[in-house]
Amino acid sequence: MIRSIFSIFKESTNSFEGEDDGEKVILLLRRHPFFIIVKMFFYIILFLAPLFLGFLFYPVLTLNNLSTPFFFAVSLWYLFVWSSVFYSLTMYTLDVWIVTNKRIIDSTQNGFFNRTVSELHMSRIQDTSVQTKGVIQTFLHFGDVQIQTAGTEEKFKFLQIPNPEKVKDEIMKLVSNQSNHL
Amino acid sequence: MLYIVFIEYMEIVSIKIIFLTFLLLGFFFYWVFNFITLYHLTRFGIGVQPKRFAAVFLLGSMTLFFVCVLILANIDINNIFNLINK
Repeated sequence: MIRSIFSIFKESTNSFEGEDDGEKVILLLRRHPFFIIVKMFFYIILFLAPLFLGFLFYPVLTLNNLSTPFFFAVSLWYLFVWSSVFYSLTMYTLDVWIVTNKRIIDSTQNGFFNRTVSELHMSRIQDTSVQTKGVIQTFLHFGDVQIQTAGTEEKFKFLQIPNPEKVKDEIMKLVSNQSNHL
Repeated sequence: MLYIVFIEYMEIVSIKIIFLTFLLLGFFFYWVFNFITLYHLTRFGIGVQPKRFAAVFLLGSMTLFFVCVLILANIDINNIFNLINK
């Protein structure tokens, strides 16, 4: 019983809302962790700020018997920082691209109540290209994958995903499998 | 004399009440925000990662909240008012 509860933190079928029968998730893509790590550095500064202030004003606080109110203000500050950290992590995790054996789904989360989901069927894919721009993207092996569709529709873009070449190859493999079945 | 003591007492009590009301409102909005975050992570999150984040977030939020309430219980508000009045 307990093992089955904890299994949700270890394994997942990567199922999603609106999944068709017989549809299998091949790739679940998110932006490169570099972007969230940069944000975390900012939060580390916010986390350390009260420690620095406390160290600086320690004599004044103890002299006026204000250490408890200061600790209370710090605890309120940490509640705010904690929620902000997880807001950023939520936005990062919910911004996904799902490649299944039937289609590609782009789910973009711009805030809690602003979500765009678009999809593209494999049969409509004509061409894919990879773009790696700049020193950071080259060294950390991430970049954009552009998917060209049939017709005059807007291009489908996977932004700043890790190992874009591998993703491109996988998509082209799925497209050729799909066309062989037709 | 008694009247003045009563007025001074009421001033402190009303400021205390206003302070606590704002604090309770703040805590209420904090938990609403946390609920929305947890809801998004568990309902829309795909894969294992969002569930792990949700679990860590819930545990951390509860711990921080209880620490905050414990410190609040030890605050002597009268001491702060005395300092302000000085």
